[in-house]
Amino acid sequence: MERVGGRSSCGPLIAWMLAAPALLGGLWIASTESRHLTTVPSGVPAFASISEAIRHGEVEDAYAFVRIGTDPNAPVPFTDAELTSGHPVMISPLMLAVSSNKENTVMMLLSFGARMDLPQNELAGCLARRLGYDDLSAMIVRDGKPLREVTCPEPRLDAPAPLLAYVK
Amino acid sequence: MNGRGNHHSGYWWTAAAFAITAPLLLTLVRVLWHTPYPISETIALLEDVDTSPASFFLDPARKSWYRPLYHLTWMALWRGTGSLDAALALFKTIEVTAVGGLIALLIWHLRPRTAIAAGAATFAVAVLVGTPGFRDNLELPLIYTTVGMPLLLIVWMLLERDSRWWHTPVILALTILAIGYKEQGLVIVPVVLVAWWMGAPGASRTTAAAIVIMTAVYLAIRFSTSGSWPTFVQDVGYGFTMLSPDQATTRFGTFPLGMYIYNVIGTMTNILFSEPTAGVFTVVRDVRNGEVTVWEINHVISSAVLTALIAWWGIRTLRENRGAPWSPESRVFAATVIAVAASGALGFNYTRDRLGGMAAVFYALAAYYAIRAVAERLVGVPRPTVVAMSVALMLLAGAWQLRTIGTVEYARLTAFKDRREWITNLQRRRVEFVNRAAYLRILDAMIDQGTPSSVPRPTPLPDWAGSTIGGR
Repeated sequence: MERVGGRSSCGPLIAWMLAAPALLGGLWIASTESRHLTTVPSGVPAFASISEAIRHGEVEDAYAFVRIGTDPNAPVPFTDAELTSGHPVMISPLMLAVSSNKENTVMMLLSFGARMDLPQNELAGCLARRLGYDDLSAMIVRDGKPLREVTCPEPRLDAPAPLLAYVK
Repeated sequence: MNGRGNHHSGYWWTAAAFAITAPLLLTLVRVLWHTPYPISETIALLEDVDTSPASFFLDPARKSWYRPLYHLTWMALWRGTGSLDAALALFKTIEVTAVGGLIALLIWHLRPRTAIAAGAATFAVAVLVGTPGFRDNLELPLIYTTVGMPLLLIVWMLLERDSRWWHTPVILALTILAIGYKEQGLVIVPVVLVAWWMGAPGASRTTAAAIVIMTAVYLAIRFSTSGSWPTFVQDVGYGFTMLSPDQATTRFGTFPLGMYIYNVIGTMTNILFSEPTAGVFTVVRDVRNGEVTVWEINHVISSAVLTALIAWWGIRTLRENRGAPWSPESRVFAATVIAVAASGALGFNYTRDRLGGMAAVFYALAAYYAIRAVAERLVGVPRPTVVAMSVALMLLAGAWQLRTIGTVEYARLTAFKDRREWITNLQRRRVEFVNRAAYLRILDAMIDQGTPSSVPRPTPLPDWAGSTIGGR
């Protein structure tokens, strides 16, 4: 750095100090963007099954299965220590989303083909009410538009887990 | 050092400023391009465009707001191409061009010719992108002010160039275009007048007269229909809460002037100090509640320090200019003051961050000159002072750079939220609008653009980093 009479000509230093944050910011933005570009979901679901995605993922994870053609009405095998007391059952994605209180996933399934007139789905509102998810139950009735009024079954006293009473 | 430098070698510094800004510019453009149109605003808007004649949008008595060229743009794109997909792509091209073009135009207009000026130019870009007025206007499809902002800068560039015969019609056309997209375009009018009054080379008396006549006609048309305007058209922020239009009318209806003044001041202080937001003192509230985050503190302090620097530079420039023809820097300072005041005045009914968008352009220009002036004064002073002041400048530039990164994260988050809204709200919309055939037709036609897996997502960050950067 040039020194003139005890004073310094620090133009380049000042310029660097001004531009350095923009340079670092640009590098940060470029690195995060390149990370996004290399990890953008290719449409391949991040979970092994739609039931896993519903239980443990976000709504986008479950939607990834619907997007690649998974039938949102097709029952899937499911076992859970709490919800089914370890019993293996076949359950529709909608009923599974209700039992997991995944409101966004319920809305997604209703938006992309889940039909309330099918036997595997028609008790979704009942299940939501039984589990105490009243808002979810009201939403299913309002947006699911069931074709006929459904009479909710009485809770089965012999069912070891609430979900089992609603799985046909 | 005067910041202008050698004419030929100076172009390298302009290129350097472009190169440093390139990652931000390209990322922002890419994120915006891949952002879906939101389900909540777009469908009803396109339904109106689809089912209404052009005269519907030209009627100034229809609503208290008037944006005919915005709606006619949609109509022209859709009916001109005969394809909704093509219209959506072309409209998004307008948004992306406006945002990317504004950043590129800012650097091009500044054309730094020295290292210090190049550093100041990168700082100005960070200020532009980091302001609430810029960030809040990155919202598809409501790009009213996003279009007006580069138009304002183009007008300013013409005003600062030697007068040509075509300047007046072009400035007039750009102003009409900006106003036709949103009332905030009116900010251009006092800017042109102050440029003329202060002797800007491209601002002729004809230009000033033409813009005054055009504005008088516009205002006469608008005020002729003002009898139907409600006292408050949107929610208004007051203190620490939001009031609905009904609540505001009940509370302030007999004397709305006080609330209008609050809104004007709220818009201006949002531009200058990043607080309040939409009239609500959110940072003060969060400090009071012990919930304040680092990014909130950063926004307020970085804005306050920069505003103080701009005030110091502006007053100093005006003083030095006394008795001589006004310099370009003096005009920028005066235009900044006018743009901030005009943006505030136009936000009299309610205040939002986005209403400061037009003034953000001048705030960034003023930031460039202010920071360059400080930096140039440091050259030749004792080294300890230089080092201390350089560190201070770097901290200020860093604070604004964090805000810029926050804007990018905000844009990514908006894209992510838009897609989630499409995934989860489709059925609710189908049920709610079951009797509106055009709405449902457009809704179904737009599902693919709303749900692709390639939509940007917010960067996963640890809590401390997220609360420092903000934008989420």
